[in-house]
Amino acid sequence: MNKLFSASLVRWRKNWFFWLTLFGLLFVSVLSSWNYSLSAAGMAQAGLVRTLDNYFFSMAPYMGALFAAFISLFLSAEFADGTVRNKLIVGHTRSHIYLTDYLVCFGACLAYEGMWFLGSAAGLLWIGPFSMTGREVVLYLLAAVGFAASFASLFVLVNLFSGNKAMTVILSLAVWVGLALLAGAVYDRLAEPEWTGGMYYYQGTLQEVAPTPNPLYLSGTVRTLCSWFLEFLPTGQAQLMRNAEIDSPVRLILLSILFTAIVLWAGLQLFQHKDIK
Amino acid sequence: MDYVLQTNGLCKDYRNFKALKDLTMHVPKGSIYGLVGKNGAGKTTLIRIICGLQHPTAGSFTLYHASYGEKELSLARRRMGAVVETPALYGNMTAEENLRLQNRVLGLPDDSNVPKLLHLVGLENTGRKKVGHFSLGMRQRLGIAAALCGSPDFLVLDEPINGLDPQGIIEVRELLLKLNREYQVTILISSHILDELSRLATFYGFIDSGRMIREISAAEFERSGRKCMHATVSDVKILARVLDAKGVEYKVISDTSADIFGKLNITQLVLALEQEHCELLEVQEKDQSLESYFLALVGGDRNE
Repeated sequence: MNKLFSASLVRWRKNWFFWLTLFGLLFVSVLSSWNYSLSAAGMAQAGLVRTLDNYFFSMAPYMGALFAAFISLFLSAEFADGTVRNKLIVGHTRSHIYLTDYLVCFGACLAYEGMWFLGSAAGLLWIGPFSMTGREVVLYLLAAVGFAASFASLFVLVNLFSGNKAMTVILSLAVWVGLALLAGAVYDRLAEPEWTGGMYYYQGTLQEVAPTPNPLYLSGTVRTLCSWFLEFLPTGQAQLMRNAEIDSPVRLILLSILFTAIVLWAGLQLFQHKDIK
Repeated sequence: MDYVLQTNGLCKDYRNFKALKDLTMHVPKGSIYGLVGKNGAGKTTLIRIICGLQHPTAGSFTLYHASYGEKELSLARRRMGAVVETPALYGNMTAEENLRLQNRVLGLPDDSNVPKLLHLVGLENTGRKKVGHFSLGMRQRLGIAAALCGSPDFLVLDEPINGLDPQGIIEVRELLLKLNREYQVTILISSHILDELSRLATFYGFIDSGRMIREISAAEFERSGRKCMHATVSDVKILARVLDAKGVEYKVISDTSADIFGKLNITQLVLALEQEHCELLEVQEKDQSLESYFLALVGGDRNE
């Protein structure tokens, strides 16, 4: 496996898309921090205190798209150009090849996250410190590592479904969009208030409406299951992280491990039985 | 005889299509084994299974005495190199970078073999040119160089001269002969270009509709494919009677023609036919080519 890892690292090092997007991400992340600092300053003038917590993880939902693009471009060469054959022919096992691909892609995702955090850390200068405790920040960062692991396992699996480079990229991005929409829908549903009503302005007067139960509000077991489902999806985790709304970072990390294990196992099974052209 | 590769009743099904049907073959150590078959006969499927790219539906094979399914097969595979269909290369890298990467995959301690391999396949002057800009012939040769990175004892090549110009074909042929003769590399090669294959192979395997229909050594082929006379007569039955009387081997081709094997005095044949009131209209000497041997075996149209 070391041999495969060494070969993949050489490819990774020579991948121009990775370096371009890595430094592009740093630039965007710094720019975003500066932009948020202006927004925070505006809020402060209006008497609203905004801390770095509100902005630091704001790019989380978009990271999946970057992971999808890199992993699909990096790995599709293996199948589209047939270079995976060179590894199988000389006796490397399929499980080693698959796990190596996963580890390298996970490493790349971590590098992207490192750049994202580095750029966002500029907010420490412009916005100020976190209001979270140090432990909470570390747990949030670990949760980000968790969803990177989940995304990497997912896109390495998607790579197995097509031998065409363009199709793999499209498929990976489509999976990301689909999961992001799914997570968004679940998030919105969970955000529904339990009661509707309150004050509203009608024909020049303020009118009060008695609160009524919201039929869209999820309660009981369904709410618990939906919450867990949202935390299980990497796109859901990213959504929660963006707004610093993670109830239990530890649970999120455990769910990431579960997601990664399931998807890796499925990918390994699929790859073991796949006919390579 | 010591065999590098033996397959035993290999079967491969793709949904409702049976690509290989109980295929058995033997590749002797030190040979250049030519795999001959029509399009869709199962050559590439067989090579893919041997290379570990696909799993057989039934049957098994042994590679350097390691059987399919055994852990030792991975070790045995380290002794082989292969180019299956199109060469598997990274288009965004140079020829040298591709070979260095393959060295990494093999776990070789250094890249000292790279200049030698590039020279061997005539790509030493490609410099910084990316493989994506190479011609098909250059890619084929680089594919062979990549397959040779680990100094394999067994080289598997699927249609290696496809897309090569005449000069390239000669170079690849000389390279393969050199590898076989000087480095004792056993080579399994499939090719549609039967004339070219006949210049290389020391063994042949004829495959049709997923079945191995005959395995024969080049020496046996030479003996069985000896020169013959193609005779056209007014009545082939009379010719057959005359040849039977002389104890000469022949094969009736049509009502008026037959192939006659072995040496024969033409004057005596003409006189014998004259007595039976049969005219000898034409006599041609011909060699039995690999192509005609193959067509006679599979009994199909010329579609190679």
